[in-house]
Amino acid sequence: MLLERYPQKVTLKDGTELVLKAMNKQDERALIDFFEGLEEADRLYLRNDVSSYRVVREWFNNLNYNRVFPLLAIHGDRIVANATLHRKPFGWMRHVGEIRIVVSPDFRKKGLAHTMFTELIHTAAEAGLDKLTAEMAASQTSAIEVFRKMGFKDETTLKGYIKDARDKVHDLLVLTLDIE
Amino acid sequence: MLKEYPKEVTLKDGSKVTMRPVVREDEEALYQFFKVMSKEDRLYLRDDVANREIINGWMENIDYEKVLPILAVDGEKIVADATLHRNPHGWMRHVGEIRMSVAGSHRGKGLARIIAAEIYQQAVGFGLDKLVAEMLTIQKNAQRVFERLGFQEEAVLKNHGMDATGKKHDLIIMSNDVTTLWENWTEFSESVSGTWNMED
Repeated sequence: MLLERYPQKVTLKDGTELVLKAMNKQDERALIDFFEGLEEADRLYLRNDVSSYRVVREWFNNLNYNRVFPLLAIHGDRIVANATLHRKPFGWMRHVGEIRIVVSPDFRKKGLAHTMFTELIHTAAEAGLDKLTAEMAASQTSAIEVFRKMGFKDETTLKGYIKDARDKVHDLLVLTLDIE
Repeated sequence: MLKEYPKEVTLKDGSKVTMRPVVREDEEALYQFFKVMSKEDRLYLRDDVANREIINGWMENIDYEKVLPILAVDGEKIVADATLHRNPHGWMRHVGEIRMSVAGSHRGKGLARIIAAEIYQQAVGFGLDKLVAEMLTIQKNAQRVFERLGFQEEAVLKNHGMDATGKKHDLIIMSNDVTTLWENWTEFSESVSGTWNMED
């Protein structure tokens, strides 16, 4: 991964200036704050139990940019978005990467997800990946729209694969994008 | 849940194997298990099992919460390996994935079904609702084995699986409803070929 690209200043379409950087061990506290700042509606569908200190601590103990490349958007001293590229350098799906993006409620609709996605697609291409996936609950219509606008297509819906924070079951939508 | 192991099982040809969870000391035997697999079988395995580092990495990080490998052992040799993969804290905490391999020497003896039944029992014990299995479209045998276990095709992801030579295949996702299976448990266990003796 070309870490020489980071940190990087970006300006959003509304003029907001942010810094993009690769997450490191020092960011643990700020990341916990970021997740705590999400609304309940957002946290309902998060794939990992981010309220568990143990879960988050495990991430920081096992940072490995070849498996998970975590890109952060920083405003002042706050993390306002977290976008990750997940891959397995060996095995069946070594040519496939999964993208996850979470943006703070007060930084949405500014094109931030798209900006971060563009960075991750660059990283994915450099890593030799040729397919990207994004997974979300079929009911997460806003998130689905963001990915569709970035060119992802619905590939399959897996029935009852997700349980939300309230233990309600939802279908999982897998969106994919072929990259050259 | 794991107190019931080791268990001795009799296969339909009368031979016996011992079922038990993997432990750290099994690294060499596991490496050998994959090493003696035919090149063709290994071509389509999802992980690079010929790579000692990969096997070592698994063995250094055994965590039954996330990955529970059950082995079938014949003397010193591992003859089958089935793993139950799950994420107990995540949004798919009610879903488990099953992966299995049976040694060429032990096929046609009903071992796949026996070892899958062990995984089912564990899945039920963990409160999982659904079991999934993934395979490349070219792996017709695997599809048949899982169909006989009651799995149904759920989705096909295009060009999602790359074999050892770098050739892409479609990836099939098959699934099975654990709760339904448990209700039909008697029916299922009777359909498992071979006598199944459980000795304490």
